[in-house]
Amino acid sequence: MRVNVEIINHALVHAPKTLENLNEKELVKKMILRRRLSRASKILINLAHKCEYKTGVMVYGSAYGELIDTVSILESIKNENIVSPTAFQNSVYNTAASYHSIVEGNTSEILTLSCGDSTSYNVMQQGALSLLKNEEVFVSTIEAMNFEGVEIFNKCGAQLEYGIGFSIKKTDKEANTVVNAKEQKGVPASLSWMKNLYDICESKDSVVIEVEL
Amino acid sequence: MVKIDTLKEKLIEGLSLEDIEIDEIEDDMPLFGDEGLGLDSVDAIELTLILEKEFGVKVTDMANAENIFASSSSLVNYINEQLEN
Amino acid sequence: MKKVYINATSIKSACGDTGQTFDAVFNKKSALVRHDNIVPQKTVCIGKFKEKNSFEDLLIQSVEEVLSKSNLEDFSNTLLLVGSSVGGMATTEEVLFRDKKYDNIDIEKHTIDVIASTLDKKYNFLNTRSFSTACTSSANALKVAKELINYGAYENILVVGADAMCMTTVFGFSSLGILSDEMCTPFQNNRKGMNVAEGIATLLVQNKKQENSVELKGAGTSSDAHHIANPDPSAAGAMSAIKNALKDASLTPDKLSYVNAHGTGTQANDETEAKALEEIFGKGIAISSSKSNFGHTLGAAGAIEAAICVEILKRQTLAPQILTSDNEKDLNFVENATTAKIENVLSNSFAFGGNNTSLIFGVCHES
Repeated sequence: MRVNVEIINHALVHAPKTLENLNEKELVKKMILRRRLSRASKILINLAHKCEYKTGVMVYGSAYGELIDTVSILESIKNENIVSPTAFQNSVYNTAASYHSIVEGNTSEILTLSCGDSTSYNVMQQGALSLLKNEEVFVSTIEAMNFEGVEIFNKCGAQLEYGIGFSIKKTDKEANTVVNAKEQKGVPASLSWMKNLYDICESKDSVVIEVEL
Repeated sequence: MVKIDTLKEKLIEGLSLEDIEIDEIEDDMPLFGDEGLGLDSVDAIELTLILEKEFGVKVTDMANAENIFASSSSLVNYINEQLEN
Repeated sequence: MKKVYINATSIKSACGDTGQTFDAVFNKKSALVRHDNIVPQKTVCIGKFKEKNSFEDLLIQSVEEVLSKSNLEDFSNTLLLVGSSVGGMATTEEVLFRDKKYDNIDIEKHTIDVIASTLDKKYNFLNTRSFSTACTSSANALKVAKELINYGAYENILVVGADAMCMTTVFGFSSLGILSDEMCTPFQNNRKGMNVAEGIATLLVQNKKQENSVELKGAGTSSDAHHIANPDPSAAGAMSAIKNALKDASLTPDKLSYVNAHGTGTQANDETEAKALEEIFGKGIAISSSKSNFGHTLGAAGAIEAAICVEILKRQTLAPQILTSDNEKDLNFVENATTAKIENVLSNSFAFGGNNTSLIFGVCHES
């Protein structure tokens, strides 16, 4: 079953190691909340803001989740140090989406997916399903992988912080483009599909795609 | 004797408090709750870890935690009392 | 909208296999064990599988069991939806703690997706998708399965909830001060906390009714937007999820006979959940939590407890809770397995990040 999805807004941020201009001080004014935000949380808040999305259904995806906090916990256990409760509560895959909901007071449905290389495509599929019951949905995929020792794993030279987001709506318009999952240099594989869609959005005024549920 | 400013420094560092100077945390300012600094229950646990790691003080009187952790001055008093014994 | 049927289930829990888990639940047996040698200077009570097989083996066993109980030859026309909060973390830990370095860790075996890709290699599903929303992971997978079947997007969906025992979660919950040193006592006034446990459950969700079908009638979700680990004490989020499920099922609260509570045994969850349940159902509805039997299976909880709800409806028997002597708010917790006319049941899952998901299962009446 297919749903035609129109892209309303699109946003992308990336950095070889650490993103500098996430504007978190402006976007999250309460310091006591801001200080807890994980890297992926700051990226998601930035992307959603760029797409003018505050409250409503959100579908978030990350293949690798909260690696910095995960490694911190593993190191604590390995070295027989006490595990930080803050690191643990921030280590679940839905951390970024949850913090966005807390910052914006978003009480709507929030789903988090983690599907390896096909994460960003699967996130859009879930977004399309959510559009059957909701006017507008925000879909995004983020990898925040700047942890100590990441070089061991980063054989393909992906940028360590990468996030893409779209606000989308259902449409009766005909699809005017097709997106593939061709990998691009520097883009984490889990984001390939969304990066290709983003590139199309940068070059066309109106983008309508057909999404298989 | 642990100085109150040293404690505040460790609080800022250990609880990842941003854009706040030591003298902005008043000695008697409530640490918890919206009226004061705004720390929460997870910070309370992190605080016990900070006390142990930075000052070698174990908080054994958890029933009285609310009073011990009420403000920077109550906290530094507790630390110094424990260190004396 | 097409109706949605649960046509086969299987469970792996600390209590054992499907039959052993049901036996433990209906007969108030606990498989939780205290350990002194895991977290330094602490005793923790957790639920580990009795079976010595690898997690991967047990995963495949669970899926095989459902395949054998089903009307399907294979899963080539089936979508796989997985719900897991730790994915392959146990494998990562095994390698890291053994080698004391990260070099030999296979990152593809670490992520959530490892469960779906392991199963896909063997069964060649139409497609796979994995959800990771902490303790609502597999409840959300079931909700999505329902919606996809409702809209006619798929005929067959296999939902797998799976979380292996990990030091990360044991140490993590312990660091938050909510991991109990004994069997959890959900909703009891002097409760001490939860028990981390491992678990696997597989449910076959289809658009066609069979002889023993149970209907998945409603699914509702919400977000607390309150705190990353503590539930909103006003219970607004929990109530919203339950009300959304009722609305989705077109049922009023009085049409429900029983609640499988999230009931973890923590002060915060049980207080909030009791508040939500009393507000919506009053003091009369029968409630129990099965987490004293096999613990909190985290991402797998939604699926395991859904399978228990299916069994409750099939047996027309309310599942008891092990301890019911000092109940929060004096609500009606089931003391012993009781046969009753049970039309519809509610199952709650509430997660870190304030994610709340409620599911409603009911007896199928049409032939």
